[in-house]
Amino acid sequence: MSMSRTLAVCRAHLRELSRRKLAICLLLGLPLAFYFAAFDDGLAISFATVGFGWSVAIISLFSTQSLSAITPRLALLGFRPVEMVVGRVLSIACYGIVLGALLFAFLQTDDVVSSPSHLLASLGFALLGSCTAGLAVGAVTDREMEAMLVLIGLVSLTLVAEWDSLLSKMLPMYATDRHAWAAVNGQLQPGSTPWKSTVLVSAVLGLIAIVATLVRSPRIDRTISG
Amino acid sequence: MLRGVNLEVQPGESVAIVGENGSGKSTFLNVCAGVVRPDGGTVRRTSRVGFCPQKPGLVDLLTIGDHLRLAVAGKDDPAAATGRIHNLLDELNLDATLPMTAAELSGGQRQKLNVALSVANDPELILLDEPYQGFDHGSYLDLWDLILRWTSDGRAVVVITHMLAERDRVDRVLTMQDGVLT
Ligand SMILES: Nc1ncnc2c1ncn2[C@@H]1O[C@H](COP(=O)(O)OP(=O)(O)OP(=O)(O)O)[C@@H](O)[C@H]1O
Ligand SMILES: [Mg+2]
Repeated sequence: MSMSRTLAVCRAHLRELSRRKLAICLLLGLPLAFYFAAFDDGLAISFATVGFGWSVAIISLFSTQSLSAITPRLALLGFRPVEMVVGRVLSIACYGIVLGALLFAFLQTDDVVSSPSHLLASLGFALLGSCTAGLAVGAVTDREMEAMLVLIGLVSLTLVAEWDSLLSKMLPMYATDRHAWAAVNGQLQPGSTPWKSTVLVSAVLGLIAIVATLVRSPRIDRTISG
Repeated sequence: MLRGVNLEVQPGESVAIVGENGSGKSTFLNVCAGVVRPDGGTVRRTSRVGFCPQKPGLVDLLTIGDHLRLAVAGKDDPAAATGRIHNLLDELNLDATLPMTAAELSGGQRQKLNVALSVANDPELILLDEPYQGFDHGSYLDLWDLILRWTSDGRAVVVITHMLAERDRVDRVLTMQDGVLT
């Protein structure tokens, strides 16, 4: 794996994204909109972190398509699928860390937050769960509309799933929600280890994303046999 | 789509492929380049391949410079590769330093970038699929000068074309008809 090719892919993703100014404003505004919408319900922190995850998931999803026009050419020039994937993940991490840090600084000013470390954990799990979800959905669907519908479905389920139900645990933002709750209430519920299911779900989603991407990548061999 | 197609190209040779729309010329070149997998058969390449697809493989929101930086990343000598592309764009009369995204370029300018990127890896075999779509007449002649220079440097060039006048410019002309190359 070549570091310079991987970083070049990351930079191309970020440049492409940086030219979508309106989209960036909307994606930055999304967690804030969720926050203010739930401001009076005491769920504002939880909603804001879900909004953050939603924003990261959309970036991840579109990153699977943004360089697709040039991917066959890059493969011919010696770019390996793994470099394309790692470069893409790095670009999402850059975006997520910057947005997450801004959001963390903002949410901390809210008096209801009693445990900043749980808030940080919530945002971190949101980044993990939604990045893998966006990449997996993007890797297995060919068209943006279908992919968006799947993501909207996932976020809707996240918002309506019963507290601690099996369904909620199977969703990629379970630990996000539990730690957001703990950020307000000071600690997780006794005996609760939400990270376990979220790490597992993210690992499965990540695996789906990697396998689907590798299987579908153009591969340029010296000898090609059909 | 393709049936019993066979083509061997020697260093320094230029080959034109002609044929009706939909006859399978692009499909064949895509298979040769390796970006499309054949249902059967074998493609053996002993050299670095440059490929200029019929539909420009460009990202709308990346500038000319972004495309160049990406194309030369990881090369042993990125500066030489960049210089090569700059020279080519220069000869085709497109300023490589224009801060424009692919979406902002004109059709002919996009196609020039498409051609230029295909030589980023200093290829020994160059596959061009209707490379001068949208070129003005001067640029069209410039590209043929380039192709002739490439072959005299010992590179092999395969070019898909619809222009009868080009039969005289190449060493061999092959016709694709219903997926058969003759
Ligand atoms: N991605 C695809 N999926 C299915 N069929 C395809 C695809 N691309 C091309 N074809 C079909 O394969 C046939 C040959 O297409 P191809 O692009 O190779 O033709 P061509 O000779 O290059 O034509 P043109 O002169 O118009 O460029 C056409 O009938 C086309 O419809
Ligand atoms: Mg064609």
